[in-house]
Amino acid sequence: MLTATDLVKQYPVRGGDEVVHALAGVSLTVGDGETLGIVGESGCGKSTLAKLLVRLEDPTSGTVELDGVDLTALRGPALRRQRRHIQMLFQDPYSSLNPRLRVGQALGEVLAVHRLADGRQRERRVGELLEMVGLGAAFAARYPHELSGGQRQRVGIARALAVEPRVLLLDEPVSALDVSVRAEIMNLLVDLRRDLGLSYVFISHDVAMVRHISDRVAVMYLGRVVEIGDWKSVLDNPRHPYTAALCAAVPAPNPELSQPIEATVAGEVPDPAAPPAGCPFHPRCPLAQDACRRLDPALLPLPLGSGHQVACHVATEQVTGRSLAPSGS
Amino acid sequence: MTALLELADLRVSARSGRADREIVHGVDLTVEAGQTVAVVGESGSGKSLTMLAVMGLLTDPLRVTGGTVRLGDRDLTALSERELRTIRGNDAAMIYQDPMTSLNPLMRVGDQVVEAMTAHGVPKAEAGRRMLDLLARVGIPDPKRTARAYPHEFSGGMRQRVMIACALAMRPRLLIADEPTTALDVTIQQQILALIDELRRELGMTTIWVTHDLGVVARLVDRVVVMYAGHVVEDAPVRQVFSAPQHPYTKALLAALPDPTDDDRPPLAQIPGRPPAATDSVEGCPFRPRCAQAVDACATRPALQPRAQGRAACWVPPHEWRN
Repeated sequence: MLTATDLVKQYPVRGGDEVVHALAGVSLTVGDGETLGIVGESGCGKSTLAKLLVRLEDPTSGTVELDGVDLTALRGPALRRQRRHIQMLFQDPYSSLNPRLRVGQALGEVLAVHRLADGRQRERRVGELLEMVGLGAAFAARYPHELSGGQRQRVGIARALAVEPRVLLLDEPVSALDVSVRAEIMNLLVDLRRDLGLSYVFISHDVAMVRHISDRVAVMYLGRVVEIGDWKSVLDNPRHPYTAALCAAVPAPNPELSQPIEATVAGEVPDPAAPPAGCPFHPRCPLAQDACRRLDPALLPLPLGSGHQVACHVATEQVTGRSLAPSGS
Repeated sequence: MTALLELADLRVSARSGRADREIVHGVDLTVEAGQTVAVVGESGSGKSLTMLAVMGLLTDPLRVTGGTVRLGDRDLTALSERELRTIRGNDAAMIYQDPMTSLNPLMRVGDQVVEAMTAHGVPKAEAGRRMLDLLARVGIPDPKRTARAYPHEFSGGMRQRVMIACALAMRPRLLIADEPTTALDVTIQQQILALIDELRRELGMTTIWVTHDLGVVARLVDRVVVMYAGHVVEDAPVRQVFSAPQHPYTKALLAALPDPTDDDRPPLAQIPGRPPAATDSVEGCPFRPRCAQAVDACATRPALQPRAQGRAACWVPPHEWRN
């Protein structure tokens, strides 16, 4: 079980005392074999969150635990050992594959660094990994530039799996791929999850893909989780106006073609260095009321939802009948 | 209706060594004035090259090696670069996925919109006035101030708005939008799609959307043209493309998208194999090696022929398809 508790990450603004709150207190759990989808746009903090979860960076405060072991407190060899359990896959593995190394050498190197296999055993394991991702052992002799986008993504997956992780962090893994190749990689990820009992954190701006693969979904906006819960509850019955706008943009295979395209959310994401007062979404929100401009809504459980939580004054009022939080005066 | 754009047997090749390697293999396509069309295809389908050929924007080693591009009453393939420059912007304009490829990073955005007009003979003072209106129209806040900014000071969405202002400054009759929202966030994507669609109506522009994801533009178009390996394989009204695709590739492409109304979330439909590389010599139907419906006849390449309310390049009609 992977647990993030109240993760805060601040970056100093160049040449000033101010800070950017890339993450303003994010708490999440990912169970064994579970897939948590994370939806959000630029500047929502999803990439920062990924970096903290794999310990590429340290949080300003908060903890990341794997089965009760606080990863944020580990250093040196103990950290290296734990790091193996959480691996990351990027949008374009090309940028992280050495162009001069054959695929087999690249995978062998990972096995060598982690002292997982030697000699003949290493070669066999490389073949196994390539079979696992549907490429076949013959691909060991290829160079990255000889591979298609989909094949490169498969090599990326094989490399992540080489260290036998328990959690894969997938950061926009299919966004750069053609529609038909996307389908192949999504199917492969679903199969590997089942066969290897992996947990996924699936980060994407593509709601259709997140809906396809997730058990639970978290929606992020400006460094916080604004809605989280069971995939169907969050995406088919969104309570936060931002989630609703993202879901409305999902193309359907049988579109109601007479329905015009509407931009339900105006404006752009505010500068995280100068976030708006109150609810961070209120300047763009079609439902914003007076309280939304003054008070930052907490992430609250919906009474009837199965763990469905939302950070929105209006949604909470609609569901509970409770009036908006009183003003601070 | 009259045809505004008519491609006849358009061929694009890449020079490699002494030989030419053909990449777009004879596209026939007619777009009526006022129509909105999506050209759909995956990487390597030739969709973008076809549109760059229309605009006369192919660069070495790529060039048009056959056929004609008629816009109104002129054959663009017969024009000099100088004549093409007067057509681009004035009669036909194109917007791209990455605005930085068409915006000058060293020039203030207002000056770039002005230049899009002065290049076509609009007096500078008038262009300056119209520039402010244009920036406001495409949703740039506080145009007087923001006109003085440089492209790098803008977000991706704002840069896309500037590019639209440049493209539409001369009120062209034809707009080609090549994946203009692919790199943008979802909420911004919706804003830009809605903006282009509004302007299209306002100016009565004939519009061609080039995309790899039909879902994104389905609600904006009258007609869909599907390209595969340098050929048009289907061309039909949008409703028919979704309800009764007439080419097996179109059907497979739609099936590869997740159905957001299906709670069982079954595996996505895959298309076996890969599209042919530009260097492969293909005999017969280019989709044949991947096609679930292939028959012996497919060894001969099928021409686009009337099928239901559109055209399809397939020997096997849908009622004979195996599932």
